[in-house]
Amino acid sequence: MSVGIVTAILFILLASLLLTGLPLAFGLGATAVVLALWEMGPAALFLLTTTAFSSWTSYTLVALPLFVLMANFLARSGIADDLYEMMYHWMGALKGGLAMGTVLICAVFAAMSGVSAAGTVTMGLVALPSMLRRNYRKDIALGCISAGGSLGILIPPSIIMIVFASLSGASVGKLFMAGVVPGLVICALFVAYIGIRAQLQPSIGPSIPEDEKISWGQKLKLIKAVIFPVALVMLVLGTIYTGVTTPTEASAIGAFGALICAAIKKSLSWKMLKESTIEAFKLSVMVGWIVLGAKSFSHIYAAIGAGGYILELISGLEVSSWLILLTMQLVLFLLGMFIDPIGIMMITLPVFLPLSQELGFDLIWFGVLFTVNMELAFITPPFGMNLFYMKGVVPPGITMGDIYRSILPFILLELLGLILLVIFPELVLWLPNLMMR
Amino acid sequence: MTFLRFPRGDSHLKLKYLRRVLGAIDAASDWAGRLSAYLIPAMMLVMTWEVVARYLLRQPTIWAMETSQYFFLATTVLGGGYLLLHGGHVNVAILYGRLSTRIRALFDVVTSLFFFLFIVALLRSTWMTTVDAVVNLEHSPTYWGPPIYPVYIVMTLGIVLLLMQGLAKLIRDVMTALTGRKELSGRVAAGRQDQEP
Repeated sequence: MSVGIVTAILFILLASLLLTGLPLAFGLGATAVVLALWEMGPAALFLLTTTAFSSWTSYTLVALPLFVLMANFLARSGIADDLYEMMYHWMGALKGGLAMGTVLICAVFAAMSGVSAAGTVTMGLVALPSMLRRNYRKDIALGCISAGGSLGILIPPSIIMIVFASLSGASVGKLFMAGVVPGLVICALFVAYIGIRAQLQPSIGPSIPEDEKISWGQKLKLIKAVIFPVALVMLVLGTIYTGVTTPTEASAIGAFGALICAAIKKSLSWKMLKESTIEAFKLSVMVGWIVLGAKSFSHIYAAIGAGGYILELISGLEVSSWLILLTMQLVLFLLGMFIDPIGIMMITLPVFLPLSQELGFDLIWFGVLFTVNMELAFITPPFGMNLFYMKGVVPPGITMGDIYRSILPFILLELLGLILLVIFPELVLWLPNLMMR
Repeated sequence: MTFLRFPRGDSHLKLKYLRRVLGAIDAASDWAGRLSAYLIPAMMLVMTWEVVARYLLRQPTIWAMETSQYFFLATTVLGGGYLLLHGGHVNVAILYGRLSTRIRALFDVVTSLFFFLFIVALLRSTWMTTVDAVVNLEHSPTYWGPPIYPVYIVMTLGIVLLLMQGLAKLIRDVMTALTGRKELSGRVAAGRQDQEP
């Protein structure tokens, strides 16, 4: 039977398994087994064990639970409260200042942690009630947090980039560095939008009342809130950038550093340690099994020569590589509305990676575009994880509809950022190339 | 409406024993998961030590990196059953999420065929690899070269736990599909209450 028909049958099988609720990991794995038995016989199933062993001892993936552990320590450490307190007094007087400041704190959190939940949930708990109390319009208050939180996976470290690297063989260190400028660009777009809109329409984000303003001396005292974040960012990104440690080692010392910060801030407890550990554990087990399913699938799929088939099919279309890139972004965007980012990666990368290589795209650049797409997947309705995280922390009276409406302008801004990165690849590649020397 | 009726006290008793067996499987998965979770902070300590040893003591270790890799393997494979018990393996909710409890259970019964296909195939090949490794007292091919067969034994164990948890889930799904009432694990229900603030 031709590879084309086999491919069609496989994808129909996979799609029906996923739609009827079989977890991604098992759906991918079962499809791999069906394919192996059908095309190669039971002997090929040994690939499952070798794939499991190599995926689960992957040096790159070891960083994943540790960065999640670090994020969980930070989220429970009280660092966010201090940062918000400082930002409140420094930026509160500006129109829309609290929302702009919230985005900036999300960016700082993003530079300390690799997940989008950390920024979203902590700011949802700390910043949202405060903004609503100061009569910020709810669409601005909600939107800036869900959107700001999504920066977590673009500004390094980043869980999504680690998984991307483990599937594609790209350097984690370079991907991390490549995310810095794009992350700052998109952060700047968010801040500029809020600032300009608040100037034109002051009712969306009034300045804080006069009687809450404090003296310059008090303001300066609050600056000590940035000591821990700066130290942690230096510890993690600094050691990766200078090559002192590998990203995996940086994840370990980052988590350890976050633990020490929590201890100094007296928020360390057995309960906190246990909860953080279980959260990191759940995510890493989930990703570990999905990676096994996806890698088994793509190994067996490649073994029957299907990769070449798809490439031929698409290069046979004789369309410009830009059109194919655009199509890939569109597919990612549409999938992002319905499927979890890790799932999208596992489904699309086996096809997209060889394709982008064939078209001669830079792997790091493509990885960053992909990551921005995954950021979008976190915030696009109806199934955007960040929107669900928000729903989990908002006060009663705020509906899912409010959250959906609030995110729309930020989705457009993020798309604008994505277009900028496509047009100006230097934004992505400048820093990692500098690191290479 | 219920399809399951228990005219004799006898079948009630059987159901009670069945639930007890399911509870034992849950307990095994749950504890394996909770304990192996602590390998993650252990990985943090091991690798932090590696960096300290390399830069402060100028004596890099040969074991730290490989040890953390095996820890990651152990935590992932031992967590498979735990995550299934707690419903943490991510799935696509577009259609599935809108279904009634009963239809969902019915779908789960059908798709479990594919779950078992994958896990049994994985267990079979891992079991054979493990037997080979134990018989030959295989060592890791690295400079440090620790025995590798314990790693394979842990792998087999984890897959067995996941398989058992899959069976428990299947039995519960069949019960849910028959009665229309969600058959819950005592552990998950208890766990959910713990998480409430």
